[in-house]
Amino acid sequence: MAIVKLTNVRKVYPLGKVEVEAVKGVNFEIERGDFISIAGPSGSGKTTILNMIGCIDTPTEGVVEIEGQATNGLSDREITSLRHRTIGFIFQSFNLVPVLDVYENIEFPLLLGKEKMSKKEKEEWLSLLIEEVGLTKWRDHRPNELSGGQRQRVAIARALATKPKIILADEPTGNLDSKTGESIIELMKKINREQETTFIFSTHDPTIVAIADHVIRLHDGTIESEERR
Amino acid sequence: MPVLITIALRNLREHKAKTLIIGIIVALGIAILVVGNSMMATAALGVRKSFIDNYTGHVMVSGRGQGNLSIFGYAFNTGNDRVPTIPRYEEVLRYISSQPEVAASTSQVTGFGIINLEENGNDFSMLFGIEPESYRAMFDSITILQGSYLEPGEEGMLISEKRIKDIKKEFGISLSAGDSIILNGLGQTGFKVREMPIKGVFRFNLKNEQLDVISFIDVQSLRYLNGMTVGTKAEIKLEEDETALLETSDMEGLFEEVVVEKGEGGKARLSEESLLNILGDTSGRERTSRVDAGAWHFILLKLKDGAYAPGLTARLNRWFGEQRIEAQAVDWKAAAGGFGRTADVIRIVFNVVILIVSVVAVIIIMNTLVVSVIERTSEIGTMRALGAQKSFVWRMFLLETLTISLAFGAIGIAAGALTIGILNLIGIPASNVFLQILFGGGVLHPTLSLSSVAYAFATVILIGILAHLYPVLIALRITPVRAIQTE
Repeated sequence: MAIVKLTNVRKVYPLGKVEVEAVKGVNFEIERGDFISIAGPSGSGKTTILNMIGCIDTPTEGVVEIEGQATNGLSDREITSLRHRTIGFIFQSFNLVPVLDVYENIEFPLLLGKEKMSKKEKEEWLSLLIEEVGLTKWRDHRPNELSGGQRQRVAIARALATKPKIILADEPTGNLDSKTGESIIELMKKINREQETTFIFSTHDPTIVAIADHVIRLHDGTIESEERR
Repeated sequence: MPVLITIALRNLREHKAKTLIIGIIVALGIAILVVGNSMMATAALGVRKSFIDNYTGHVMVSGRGQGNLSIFGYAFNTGNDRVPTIPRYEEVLRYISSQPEVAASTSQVTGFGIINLEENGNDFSMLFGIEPESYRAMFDSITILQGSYLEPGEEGMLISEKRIKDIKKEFGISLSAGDSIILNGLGQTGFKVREMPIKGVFRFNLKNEQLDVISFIDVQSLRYLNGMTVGTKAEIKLEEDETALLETSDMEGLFEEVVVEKGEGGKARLSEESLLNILGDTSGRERTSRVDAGAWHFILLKLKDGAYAPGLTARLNRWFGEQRIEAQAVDWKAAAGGFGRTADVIRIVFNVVILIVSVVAVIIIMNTLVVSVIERTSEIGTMRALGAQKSFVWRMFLLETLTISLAFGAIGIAAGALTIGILNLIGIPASNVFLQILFGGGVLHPTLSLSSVAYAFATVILIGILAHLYPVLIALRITPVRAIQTE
């Protein structure tokens, strides 16, 4: 069963008196463990699709299903729980909580739901994540004391904290230099391989698209091509 | 919850300028509230104590009258509002004295007199007609500077030092103990004049210029000046023809009776018999013109404990009702008239001002928080995207507002307490009559009132809760997608 399924998804934004159709009836499926890139130029609808998969935006028409559950008609509380349970986010601008240090930022999603781990288990898991993203020395530092690459590593660790089935990354390397960007993508790929976490990321960088094993190319709100490698 | 506290505290530290702006407003408002309410509470206690100890006692019993009756008479005396005497005085006094809560009582008559300074003019005076023995035992309100206190049954008056000085200043007349003055009274039965010896000159122990117009006088003289005669309360029954005579409009008819007889040679002759007929029998008039020795306006009661006052007042009023006695019992505040109510009025005005200041504070804090919410749109959106429910965001802002309100509220309370401590040491002098009434004396030494601290604490929490509501509404409207777009 597909972990993500979009059926005839359309998204229209009102822009003053006119309406802008950002996504024009899109259909595709994403399998568990996919490392998928949604590629396309600016304005092609990448972020809009990513937002709808991430349940932080709703389609104007059509159905978005996550693990077989349609997200249409869910209440704010239900959809927030679904997001917390199933999806991890990596943002282009990292979006870390500025007043929390590295450890606290990664721990943060775990504090939003019911505690499933003991204190010891949690500490071990978080330390492992910090080690995995190579920030052991930086665990007590605040985001403003870190480089862009380090911040994105914190964001990756935070996205993994709740052990989600899907991780969404919107232009994860957009604010990073190419070398750092590559290392971030490699890290994501490693986690994808080891933990079978589904990674869905949007990008317009062809070198990063090349690493993906499933590519959906968008143009002007429609799917231009879909390629599985 | 710990993460919320961490975020709240660190955010407050991060945004020092905003925290300080809100904090200073809160601390200043709370300090003013604590100082103001403590001063009000001390002043109210001072006014209460000074009136109970010196003028009114805990409970005042009077005849049932219309309007606000106090020991000073009616609040707005138009000349028609005659202070009622206590009916069945002896019976009332007996019942009151039998009540276990009553420690002491004294009776009083209140009136107004004009000190006639002949060609120099007239000076108005409020007169308290007292029973010297019981009054002095109950109220240690004055210090005799010249002469002596009134003795029981002795005719005379005591004038305040201030009054003597005012008369000297205004009329150039020096009065002292041992002198006599002409006192005019405009009582119920007409204009009365009496020569009164000044037995003593006194000073009120509590400074209050308004009360310096009071002179103490033996009660029998005041009853005379007030026209409180036996006749004023006697019931007169008129026959039918006498009623008809009073109602007649035929003025000529009133003088039809022949008093001037024609004598010999047509000369007019005034007969003794006919003259006496005109005057009629005057023995009744003489009897009814005697001063009523049993007439009292007030019985003032001091209780063993002030806490008994409401219960005793209610019981007395119930008994008056059952016995069909046209009398009433009221507490010290009603007995003190405008003096008792002034502190309450000022307190209400002060609290209205505080309410307005609080509203302004809430608006300023609200605005600052709205700016903070807008600045943190991305942070809030990220939290929501990561799975934070709306309740989490709401609690985060509530905690931040309450933390800042309580922390700076505590600073405000401490600053207020310190100010009160300093004011208590140095004292606040009452520079005018208004402040003397308000302070219940010449100097106010305010003490920190626990109720004002509790009130301030409650206000702080209320300000915090009110101030966070609107910013939180804005924060809750932030969707995760907007937050990401903002970034």
